[in-house]
Order: sequence, then C-alpha cells, then structure tokens
Amino acid sequence: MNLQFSDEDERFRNTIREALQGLVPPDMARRTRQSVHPTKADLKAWNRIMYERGWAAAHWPKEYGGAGWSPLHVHIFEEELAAADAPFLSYFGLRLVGPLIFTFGTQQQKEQYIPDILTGDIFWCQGFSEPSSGSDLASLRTTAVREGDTYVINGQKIWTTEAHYADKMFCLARTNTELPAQRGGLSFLAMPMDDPGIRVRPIITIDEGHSVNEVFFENVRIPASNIIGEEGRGWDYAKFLLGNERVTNAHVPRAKRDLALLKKMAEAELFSARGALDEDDIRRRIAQIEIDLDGLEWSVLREVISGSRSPAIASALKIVASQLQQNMTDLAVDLIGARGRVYYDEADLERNDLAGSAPEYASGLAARQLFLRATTIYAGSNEIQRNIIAKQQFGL
Amino acid sequence: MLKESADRFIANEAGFQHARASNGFAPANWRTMAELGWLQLLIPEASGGLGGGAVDAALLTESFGRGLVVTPYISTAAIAVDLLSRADDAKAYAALLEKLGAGEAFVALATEEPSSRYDLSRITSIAKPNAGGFALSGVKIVVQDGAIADHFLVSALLDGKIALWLVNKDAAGLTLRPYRTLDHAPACDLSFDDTPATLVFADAAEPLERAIDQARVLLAAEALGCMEGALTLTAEYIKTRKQFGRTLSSFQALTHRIADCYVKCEQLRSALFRALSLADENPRARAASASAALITAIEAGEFVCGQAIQLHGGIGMTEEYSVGHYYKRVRAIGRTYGDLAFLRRRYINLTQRDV
Repeated sequence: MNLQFSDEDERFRNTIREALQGLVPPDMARRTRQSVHPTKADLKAWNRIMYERGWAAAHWPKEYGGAGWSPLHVHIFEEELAAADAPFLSYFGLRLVGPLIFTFGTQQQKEQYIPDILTGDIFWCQGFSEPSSGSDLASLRTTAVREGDTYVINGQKIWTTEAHYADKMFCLARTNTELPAQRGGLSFLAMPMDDPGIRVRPIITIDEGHSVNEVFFENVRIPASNIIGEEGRGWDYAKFLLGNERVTNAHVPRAKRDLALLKKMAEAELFSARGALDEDDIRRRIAQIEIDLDGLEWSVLREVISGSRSPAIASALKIVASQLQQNMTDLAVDLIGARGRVYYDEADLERNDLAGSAPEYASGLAARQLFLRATTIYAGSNEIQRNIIAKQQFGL
Repeated sequence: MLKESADRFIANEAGFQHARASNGFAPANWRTMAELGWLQLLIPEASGGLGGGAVDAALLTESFGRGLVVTPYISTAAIAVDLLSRADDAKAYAALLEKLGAGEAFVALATEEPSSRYDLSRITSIAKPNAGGFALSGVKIVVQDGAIADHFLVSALLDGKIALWLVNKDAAGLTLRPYRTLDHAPACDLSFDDTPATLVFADAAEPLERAIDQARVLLAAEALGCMEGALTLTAEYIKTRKQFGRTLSSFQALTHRIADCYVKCEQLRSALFRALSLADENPRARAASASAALITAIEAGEFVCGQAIQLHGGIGMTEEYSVGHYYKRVRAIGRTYGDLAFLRRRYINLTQRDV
C-alpha cells in the first residue's frame, strides 16, 4: 500500500490552501488556537462560510451536499482547515446524525433535517450517556413510551456536549423495556431542545470551561415520526456512529497542526541557558510524538482507503489518538515553564498580558491540558476500548 | 498532635467545600492558623517563634494537600520566615517576623523572570544605589501568592552578584498585575522601575537555595497529601460505582491501577522522609535530596491524580467534584519551585559532576 500524495493531490492541496487564504477571521482564528471550547457564534459563522462554498459537509456523498471528493482529498482538505486555525464545525449534525439520517432515515426525515444541518441553522447534540450508564451504555434508562401517534420521553442524560448550543437532540431511549438494548430495546429519536419538558444544566469542567451539560426530560412529547430509521434499532445506529467516526475522532489534521506549533514553541523557548531544542529530552519527546502521529495517520489512511470497519481497529485508533493528544499538550505545557500554572480567563486571553506578556501560544494552554484529560474518558473510555479489542479481535 | 489538629482544622474549617465557597485563599483560615501557632512554627525561638523544623511543617502541608487548602503557608510561613530570620541584619526584620507569626502580614518571593526557568542565577533584574539607598529595575513573573502580599522578597543583581531585597507593595515604581493560578492561588507579575528596596542578603545565592529547597520538600509533602486524598476517593468510588451489573472494583485492570498508585505514594513518602532527614546536612546532600523528593512528587502526583480522574470517568472531570482539584494542585506544584526538566538537571549537576 502506498499512501504518498501524488502531484494531483498536491495541486488539490494548493487550491484549497489558496481558497482558505484570509477566510478565517483573525479573532476567530485566535480563539480557535487559544480555547478548547468553540463559541456558538464562531461555529455558526464558520459553518455559513463553509456552506456558501459547498464545503460544510465535504466528507458527505455529493447527492446529500458533500463535495464529492475522494477520502484522501477530504483528508487533505481537513489538514488545510486545521492549519488555517479554522474552528472544527459542530460535530453532532455534520459528523453524526446527518450521515445517520441519509443512511437510515426516511425520505421525509432527509428532507426535514439535512438542509438545516448543512447550513448550520440547526445545531444538534447527542443524548447517549446517563448518570448510571457511562461505559455500560446499554443499561441506559431514559424511556420513550408510545401514546397514539406520539412518544413521551422521561429520563436524564449527562455529559451532553453543546446541549446549550443545540436546537435539537438525537438521543437513545428505551422504547421497549422487555428487550435488551442490543436486541430491539432502544430507539434513536430526534427532539426539539425548546420543548418545555427539557431542562439543560451546565457542567463546568476542571478547566473551568463549559461545553458539557446534564439534560433532564419530563414528559417530552414528540411525534412518532421523530424516530430516526426504524424503531428498536437504536443500538445498531449507535454502533454505526461509533464506527463511522473512527477517522474523525483520531483528529489527525488538528494533531499535525499542533505538532507544527510544538516545534515552533520548542525553537522559541529557553531551558536554562539553552534553547529547548538543545535538550535531549525535549528532542526525544518531539521525535516520539512525530513517530506516533505518522503511525496514526497511516492507520487512518489505511482505514479510509480499505475501509475494514473492524471494531478493534476503531478502538486502537481511539487509544492511540487520545494518548497522543494528551502527550502533545503535556509537552506544550512543559515548554512554557512557570507560565504553565497560570489561569487565563476570557478577558486575559484577549489581552494576553499575563506572565510577562507571554507568547500567545502560552495562554490558555494549561486549561487545554486539563480539559484533554477527558480524551481517554469520552467516546468510550480507553479501558472499554481495550475490552472491545480483547473481545472482538481475540475472542477473549 | 500537630497532625491531629491539622486534620481537625481541615475537616471542620478548611476542606474542599470551604475552599470552593471562598474561591481561593480564605483569610479566616489564616487567622486560625495563626491562633494554632502554625505560622510561628519555623520562626527561631530567639526571634520569638516556636523553633520547629521542616518535619513539623511537612505534616501541615501534607494535610493541606489532602484537604485541598489554598494557602500562602509555604511562601510566607516557610520561605519568607526562613530568609528574614537569617538576614544579614536579622534584627532589622524582627518586627516583620513577629507580624508574620501573628498572621498580620504576607511576604511573597519574587525570583522567576520570563527567561529564568527556575534558575535563580538567570536573572536580569538589577539594583543600583541612589541617594536614599537602593532602587530596583526589572520584571518578575508568576509570583506565588503575590496578589495578596504586603511585601516582596525580590532577587536582583548588585555588582554582578545575586542579592535579595525587600520591597513594599506600595513602593514607588512598582506595578502589580494580579491573577490566579490553575489551583486558585493568588499570583501576580511585578515590574520594577527604580523602585526603592532594602537589602536583605548581599550574597543571596545560598540562602535562597536553602529556603527554596525547604519549600520543595514541603511541596513534595503537599503533593503526597493530594495523592492520598485522590487515592482514597478513587478506591472508594470503584467499590461503589456499578457498570455491567457489577462494581468497577471487580475489574482487575482497575484494582491493579489502584495498587500502582499506592506504590507511588510509598515511594514518595520515603523520598520525602529522606529529604527531611538531610535538610540540615551539607548543601549538596540537602539540595540533591530535596530535588529528588520533588521530582518523585511531580511524577507520582501526575500519575496518581491523573489516574484518579481516569478511574472516576466523567465525574472526575467536573469542577464541582474534588478529585480533579487534586490533579490541578499537583500540576501547579510541578511548576512552582522547579519543574521536572529543571530539577533533573539540578540533580544531575549535584550528583554526577565533581564540584
């Protein structure tokens, strides 16, 4: 297998790079560099800019509004977006529920939901985890009870990213309490977040940022047509999403940009009387990150091209990518010395006058490092991923 | 007895919930510490203090770590007390020491500059004689507990030597930019522009190393307290949290991780005891063992408190729950009086080269 970029690929890259020139507003680019939680305004504005160029869902099939590019070109496109400090567009519509709807949804659902996902006029969030059902997602308890032409939903979700931005939620709920989750017990349904029965409570994470929430449902009534695809297939759809997103979740484009930044930081920072790059330990850590990232990128491209869809590979990618993200920010914070214990609030980030007016890259970095502790927990903890590999690949 | 009273203090007045309520340093805690005599612990008897040692102070900071107490204890009651009580003209600071012991003043140490990387000798701040005495010029960054300090102990060059100076917070030409650290300590940056200063040590290199080595050992003890606190919570959590119809503690992969954390705690405890026992030995033994203790604390703290978050899952990531705060505290400890890169280099220089 040869994954070298051809001349044609490089021409494509140049076209994209030129098109992105000056497209990301400078303050939006700064926020993308400094803050791990994008603002809703930035996500909306960038979604609109991408939509107008036909790029909001470049990775989708052309018939649903995608760019019609090869997977390799989509990969190049995303690398260039990351390099331009473009915000990573809201995940839940464009990456998760959109593809689910055009794969399994009814014609009416496609017409109802897809256009607003593309424009970014409707934001979505994902209601999967519950307080007692984290790693053991199949044990979730939120119920959707059929009453005539409607379902009535009661229960609670937790760790719901961007619930406070979202106009709609897709969620897993129990439509049959007799059947196990894996065999027909769960359905996948859409609901409006402005329903009076829905309450969103913010959860502040240890970086003091807000991206996740608790969501409570009290007699939320939705039409039966809001069941996405078929009733009882919620578990299959959840697995589809998990497998579908193995490549995105590896965050290779973003990691490549971060590695380039790490190298610049290492050139600029001093350790004692010497530059950081004169320290063997720093050089060794950068080298290892580069080796790990190259390996991860080739794993991702192997998946993109051959499409094994093996659950064990998805888990392997998740483990490598999450640890790599942590290693990179750990090193970044180590590079900035005592500034690595400074907390920047939003006004500080804009003024950037703390710690002797440190370089811009130093601000917000320590908080980012804290938030990224979650990468080995969310989307299936790395412990669960190991269980999956042991079971799926080796029957253990 | 000291340990019991420290534990009682944390349980009743100063634990995590109290710290959250006050969002950082709580003046009421400081008054209690003064009443209990803790602020006089390291002041020599000759100066009216209790003349205690680092062993006693380490018992306290370990408890502060376990209780997540945000306190300027190390900067004021250890570093400033140590330096002022050994000053070239110690008598001149008797009144200030008395105030420190009574909890009526705070003194913060300002040594770090934008490119010094914890190396006390890599500074550009400079002192020059003027009509009334001396004046300082330069910049200091991330001054621990600086935002609440009444005075600063500032390193600046005098005739090419590192000297230590006392500067009043209201002194002319002093600009203070307050902010806080990840763990809610009140820090600041300082810039000096012909700021009047009093000379404390004309040759401050060894007194500073000594005082900061003691602070390093106390930080290692605090990290140990953090690790113990995080580990206790985590072991308890995996015993009660159920997934897949059984407790997390029935998964051996997780109990082994708890056991690994215990091993790290005990290794740190020994490094700490060793450093405490060598605190008054020759400067090289003291400096090497203090570096070793803090190196062990930083590595072990990252592992134990990081795993405490991991084993808790999502709840460990929340600001509302205490386990993530142990992690934040050890992260801050690991970049206050030296980080791993600096401390390892220092240890190597002390132990592998003929000096």
